[in-house]
Amino acid sequence: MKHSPSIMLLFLFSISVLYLFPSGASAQEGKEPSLEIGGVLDIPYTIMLPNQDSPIFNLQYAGKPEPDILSTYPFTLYLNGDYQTAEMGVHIRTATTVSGESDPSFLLYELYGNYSPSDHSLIQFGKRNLRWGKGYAFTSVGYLSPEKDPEDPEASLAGYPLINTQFTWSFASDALNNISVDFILLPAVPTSTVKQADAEYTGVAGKLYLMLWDTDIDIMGYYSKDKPTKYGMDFSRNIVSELEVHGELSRFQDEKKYLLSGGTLKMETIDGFAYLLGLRWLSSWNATTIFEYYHTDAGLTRNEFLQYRAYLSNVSKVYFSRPALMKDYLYLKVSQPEPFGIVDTSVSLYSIYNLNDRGVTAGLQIGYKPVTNLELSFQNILFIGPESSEFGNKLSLYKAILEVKLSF
Amino acid sequence: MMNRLWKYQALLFICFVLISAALPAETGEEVLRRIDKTMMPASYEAYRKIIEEYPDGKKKEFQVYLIKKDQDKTAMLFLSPASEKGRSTLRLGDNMWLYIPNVGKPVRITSLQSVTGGVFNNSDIMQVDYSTEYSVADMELTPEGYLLSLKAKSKTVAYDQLKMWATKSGIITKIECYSASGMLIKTIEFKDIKDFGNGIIRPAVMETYSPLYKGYRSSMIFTEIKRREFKDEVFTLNYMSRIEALRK
Repeated sequence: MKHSPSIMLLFLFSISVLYLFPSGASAQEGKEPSLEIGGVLDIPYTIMLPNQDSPIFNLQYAGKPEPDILSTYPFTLYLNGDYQTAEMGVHIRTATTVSGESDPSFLLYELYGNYSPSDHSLIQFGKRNLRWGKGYAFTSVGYLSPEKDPEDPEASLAGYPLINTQFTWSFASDALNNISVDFILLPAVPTSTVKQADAEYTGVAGKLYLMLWDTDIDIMGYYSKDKPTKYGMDFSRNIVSELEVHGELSRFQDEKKYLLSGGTLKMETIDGFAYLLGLRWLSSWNATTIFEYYHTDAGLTRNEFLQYRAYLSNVSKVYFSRPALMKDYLYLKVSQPEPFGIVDTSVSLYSIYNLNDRGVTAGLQIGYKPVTNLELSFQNILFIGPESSEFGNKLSLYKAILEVKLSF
Repeated sequence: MMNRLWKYQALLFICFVLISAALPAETGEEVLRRIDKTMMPASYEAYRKIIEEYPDGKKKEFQVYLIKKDQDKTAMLFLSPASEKGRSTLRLGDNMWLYIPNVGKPVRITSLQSVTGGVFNNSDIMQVDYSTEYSVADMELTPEGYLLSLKAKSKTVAYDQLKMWATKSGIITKIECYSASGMLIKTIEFKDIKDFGNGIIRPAVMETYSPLYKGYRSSMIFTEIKRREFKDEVFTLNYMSRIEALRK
């Protein structure tokens, strides 16, 4: 959801006015309720080797000179504000991106208030991203947040307008330690042409969390008249100290699936399952390995993807905008802090394997934190696969990203 | 006469032995529980600095707010630097989670990892009562107090064995942490005994170094410790994003 620059300027103005109030500069001073401003200036410089056989590339550069190497240099200011007292709080998370000479785009990730009448209960209202699920790169039960991009699973995502009431109880028991219940109301969202929404399309969701026999278990559901009904569960548990296993299972009904048949876009409503199984392992040499298998019946089969690819130039990508389009994926990531004893550095390798067309995305990231609040990273990403595969069909064959992050 | 004197002496010695045996001597487990009580109140809130020193002389400093209840519930909120602010950790017995605001949900972590990246691991930073994780295998009396040899109660505990030196009054002065194979993993020294008020007298500084991390040194400095009661619900996944509210 992009907003006009005038909204962004209004927001920045309000932030600068609010800065007149003292902020929590140190641990001791922060005990008094005050507005605390913080954020990250994120500057990634990307060069890409274009995939000149990709329909996406051909669509984008039709009738234009085809460049040998592409580059982007957007920079984003993630600006956050928090005002918190013992019982209530107001929180805002934003991103303002400047890209080239075009107008800056402003994105409101979250703007919500919370009130906690007791340690047992919490009410949250506003735009909030409630991230459900135990998956790292994928999730099948993230009903109240946009789908993750497995290439960047930790990226910020915008929330939805909602009202959330939460109750929590703890028990001194060997089996059941904790129960938490969430009730969520998702008001119908008006279309861009009118200010009012049809209340009939109000959504409801709920989640029950149990900490049972040292295992995190969630059971959740979502219903709205105009969206697919979903219900499912997830779990996470440390089998031994160094090894965590997690899983998710979701059932969906009336999910819209777009297909191309003979060059014509058609929409089917399907019922099916999505599920995920994964593990996180810490080795004795301090390397963390994350491995996941993800499946969704809502994804495209190989033939359906080939149809989509053949007619890509004729259809809007809006109907095929999910970060992972197909049915089955494997994900592997290995991270090593301070490799070879080099202080302040980290190295991670990741790979996403599309089981349906055998395409691979492989990435290598080197991180360096030379001083407090400054982080540099250098990332290489390769998209490997036949032209007809999902990853072999990307805009680029190779990407190199130099990123600077300044926290404040 | 000498013979009678010897008899009286022997009788007195037998009385001494019998009386000593009849007196309830403090067992190793009782000493360990007393050490736990002396080192920290059962339920408290605290502020501390964690300083990581690197072989090249560089230092990283973290400010954290720490809360604890009972023997095995602890939570921690990072207050600075800005890149870490808002992160929180939770420990319930052997279970540990990390909450990163940007990620937006708690993720399970292990006791052997380090959220600060130094010699202290998560288990050191979110230490629960020693008597919860360890049983006393052996206790020696030393001129200064006690030397306890501790053995982990389960395999999920970060160190298989500890050697703990403590004063007679129950203040820990040094801990050596060993693996199951008997390898020394790290040494923690407790320094600078300070009166934090309300009867809390303990070392303010904990310094650690390890033969496995040559040139590294980490320290934790308590700047404030207060007795405070918390509801159990504060030590739950849902509360991890709201620990800041406890400081207000």
